[in-house]
Amino acid sequence: MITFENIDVVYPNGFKGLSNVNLQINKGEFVAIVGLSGAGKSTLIRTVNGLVPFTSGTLTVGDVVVDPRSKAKLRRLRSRVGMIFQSFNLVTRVSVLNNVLVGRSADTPTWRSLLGWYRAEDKELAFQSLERVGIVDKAYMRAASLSGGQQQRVAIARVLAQDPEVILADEPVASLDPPTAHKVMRDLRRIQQELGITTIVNMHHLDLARSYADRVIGMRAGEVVFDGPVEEATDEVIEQVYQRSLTAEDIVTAEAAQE
Amino acid sequence: MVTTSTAERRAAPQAAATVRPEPPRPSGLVYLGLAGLALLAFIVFWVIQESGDVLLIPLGFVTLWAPLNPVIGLVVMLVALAVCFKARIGTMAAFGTVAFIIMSYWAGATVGFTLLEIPERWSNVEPRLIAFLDPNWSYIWTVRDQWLITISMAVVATLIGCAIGLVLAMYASPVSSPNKGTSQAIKAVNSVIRSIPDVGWALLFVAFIGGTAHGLGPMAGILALLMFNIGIVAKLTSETIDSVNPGPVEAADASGANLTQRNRLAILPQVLPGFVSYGLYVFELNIRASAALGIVGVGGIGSAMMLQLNRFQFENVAAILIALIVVVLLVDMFSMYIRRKLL
Amino acid sequence: MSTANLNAGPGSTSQTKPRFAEDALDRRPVRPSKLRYNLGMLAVGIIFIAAVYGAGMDFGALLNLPASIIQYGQLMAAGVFQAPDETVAGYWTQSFDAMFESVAIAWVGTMVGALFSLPLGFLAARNMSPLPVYIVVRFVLSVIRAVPEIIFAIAIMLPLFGFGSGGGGALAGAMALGVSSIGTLSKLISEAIEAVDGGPLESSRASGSNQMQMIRWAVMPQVMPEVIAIWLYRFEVNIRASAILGVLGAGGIGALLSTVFGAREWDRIGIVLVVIIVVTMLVDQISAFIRHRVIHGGDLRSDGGEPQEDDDAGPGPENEPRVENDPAPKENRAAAGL
Ligand SMILES: Nc1ncnc2c1ncn2[C@@H]1O[C@H](COP(=O)(O)OP(=O)(O)O)[C@@H](O)[C@H]1O
Ligand SMILES: [Mg+2]
Repeated sequence: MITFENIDVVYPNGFKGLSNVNLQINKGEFVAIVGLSGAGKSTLIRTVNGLVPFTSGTLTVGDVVVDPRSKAKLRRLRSRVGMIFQSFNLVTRVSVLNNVLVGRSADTPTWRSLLGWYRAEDKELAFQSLERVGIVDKAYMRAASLSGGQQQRVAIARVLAQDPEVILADEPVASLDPPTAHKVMRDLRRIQQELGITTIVNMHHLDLARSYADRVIGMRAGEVVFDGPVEEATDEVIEQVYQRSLTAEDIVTAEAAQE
Repeated sequence: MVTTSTAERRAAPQAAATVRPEPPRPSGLVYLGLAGLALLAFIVFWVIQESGDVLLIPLGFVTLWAPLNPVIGLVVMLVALAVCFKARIGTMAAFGTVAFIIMSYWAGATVGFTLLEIPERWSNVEPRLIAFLDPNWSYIWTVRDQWLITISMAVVATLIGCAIGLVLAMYASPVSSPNKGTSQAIKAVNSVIRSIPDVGWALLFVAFIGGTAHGLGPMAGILALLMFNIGIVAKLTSETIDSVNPGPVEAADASGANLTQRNRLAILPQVLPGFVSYGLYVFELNIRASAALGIVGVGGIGSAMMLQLNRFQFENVAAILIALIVVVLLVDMFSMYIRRKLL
Repeated sequence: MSTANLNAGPGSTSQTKPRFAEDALDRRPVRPSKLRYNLGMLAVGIIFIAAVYGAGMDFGALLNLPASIIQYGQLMAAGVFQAPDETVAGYWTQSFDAMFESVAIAWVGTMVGALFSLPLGFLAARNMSPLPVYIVVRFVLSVIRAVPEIIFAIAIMLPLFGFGSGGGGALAGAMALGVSSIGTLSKLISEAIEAVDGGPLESSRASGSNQMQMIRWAVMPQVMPEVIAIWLYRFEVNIRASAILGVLGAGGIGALLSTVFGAREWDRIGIVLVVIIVVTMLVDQISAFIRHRVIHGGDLRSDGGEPQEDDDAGPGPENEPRVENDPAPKENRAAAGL
């Protein structure tokens, strides 16, 4: 369970990224955060694992109170909170397996990381993660040689190797074509259901949010302006969030979903 | 100056569409100031000039003969300014032009630039050139031991220097260092290391170690090359780290890796190709540098070359030089091969 | 849990991690052999050990190195920080004079190199010159790059220019630097020219201009900022390189350096080193500033006043996916080394 209590984020340049956010995200929930570009979606998601430090309020993840100032505590928190990025953020020059093993860092002694000698059980976990996203056959290939959708699956495997309680995904499908976007979202949804991992996904495509999430949070100008189950997130409500009428760009093409 | 130019720029779109927008006219006041600067430089040169000789002012593509009379320099500067003004060149570039001429005038005067003595001195050089064209081929093999020392020194200095340079680079780049203060401090240390020339390091270590006899020379030479390499590798690698793709770094952070792990797993693979090619480049530099360091007696092929030079045995020097050129070309080809394999 | 569209996924709702069936292991790929990598590492190790023996170093010298660094370091520091009476002030001015002479030598050397490097750069660029010319010029440039500047100085320039009016051989040093700069400068410039965007070339060729016009109007504008940056880099390098020429009497700080080291006057050594460090770092800073301005244009600061925010996107933490960066900024190499 993740609780935001009166969370504010002020960036070093004085810009207010989040103002007075109060949220409660339950264990095992699949939450989609929607909003226009610049609404503060990324900021919200990044406060959860301390990539963006919040400046006031209280944030708890599970039974841990997040303290953005303590690096050691943040590392321990981050080992239980996985993150997926729009641009996959793989080290493209090394193998898929080594990318996945990055997820084991928090539980690996530094000297092992330095030498690249991972324990057998860590490797086993990495392989299982790759099996779960269905690209174990690519384990020894360079990440650069994979397609976008495959790279994002490697990124998901890297997160799974952390054995996380929470998965944060910042626009995970924004740089993928519609059919691949649906495949990746389906993977995320399946993993969330199989493993009961709390999943928070940023997206700007409404239909993706509606078809995969349990709950939708709408953001505008650093504030949460809508919070409710998917059924309540009707077009009118979202137009309210966006403060403009919906356009074709807000949805991934419908036929792609049938793939 | 800013106000006029921006005002002009704003006015430009309002002009008729058919008129080509011209660059804004630079501020005359600034140009006047630059002319004043030129005058000031002229006065300074006038005061410090030594009379008599002939001076050549190299001006980029043009060379201009001038008696050692700063008046010529002043005229050149003013003409250059006028041309810049006519061509509507920005004030910063005009300042650069004036500064360039002043600098060249000063440097030319300081080194006593003249090409007039070449014809009468040519006879000194001619026999040497002839000797260089007729190398003593049999000498190449006599200095093989010195070659071994030179190459060994280069290998040791390159490998250790690259290792230390990599660690320093990790601490020097703000992307991979623990905090800003560390990165600033290491950068400062590194620029001190880099500002002492290799021969300076060699002289220092020769003095520290106590001489160049009995294996002390190669030790001093290696230490000097080491400092030289650390400076180069750390600077180049830290600049490469600066421009690394931040995505994987963030991902490693987000998965709870500590600083060392993150640098090893997310940064090192990204900079590795660059790092290796810097290492190969530094190896090539080392072979050339150890030839030069021979003059302070650190051993290796440089010492052999100095010995032959002092004995005016130019055919032997030529033989060593040819071997040196071949070795450097081979190293160049080898590193091109490795780079192509790696990238 | 809400009943959103769940047609994705197999619908298994078990909360524990399922173990995989045994045959899953069969689908795992075989680990590729690391033999070549390991052999390569082994070779590097063996070469290193052989080189350590081959150099014939005296490791005993390392034992008392720390002690002598401290001892002589103190002497140098004492020299630098002593109260500047008349003689000491003389040391400082002497050092600065010599260092400024080094800067002048480096400047003239860079100019001489620059003068030749531009045409040679064009001749050594594959997209600008015919193959035979290209091969010959490239080879000559490689040869120039292989010869240390000290050889040019001793073997050719000193006899050709003598020790000059000042008796310091500054001109000979400058010419030696100039000749040996030609190699690196032309190579880097030719690489810049080869990287020129083909579009303007095509269009100017299509509009019927000859080679000279094409170079003047399509190539020069594109490469000139980079060329100036390369020249400045070489100036920085030449300041360092001039030191070694001085040791053999070709002017500048090197001559002073070898004198003070020869006499083991540690206080003066300290002063000379400090002067070298200060002046070199200063020149590096100025040169880096100019390079930055030339390459990135002057608009960064000159407009002052109004900070131009381009749009609301801002410097968000995540941007478009980036391509892997260029691993070897090649003209950088000239900056740090030779
Ligand atoms: N590091 C930062 N410093 C200052 N402002 C930032 C920073 N990161 C994001 N912002 C600003 O915060 C706002 C919200 O950004 P973000 O959370 O990335 O929005 P979204 O992900 O919804 O597009 C934007 O206006 C952005 O400019
Ligand atoms: Mg975002």
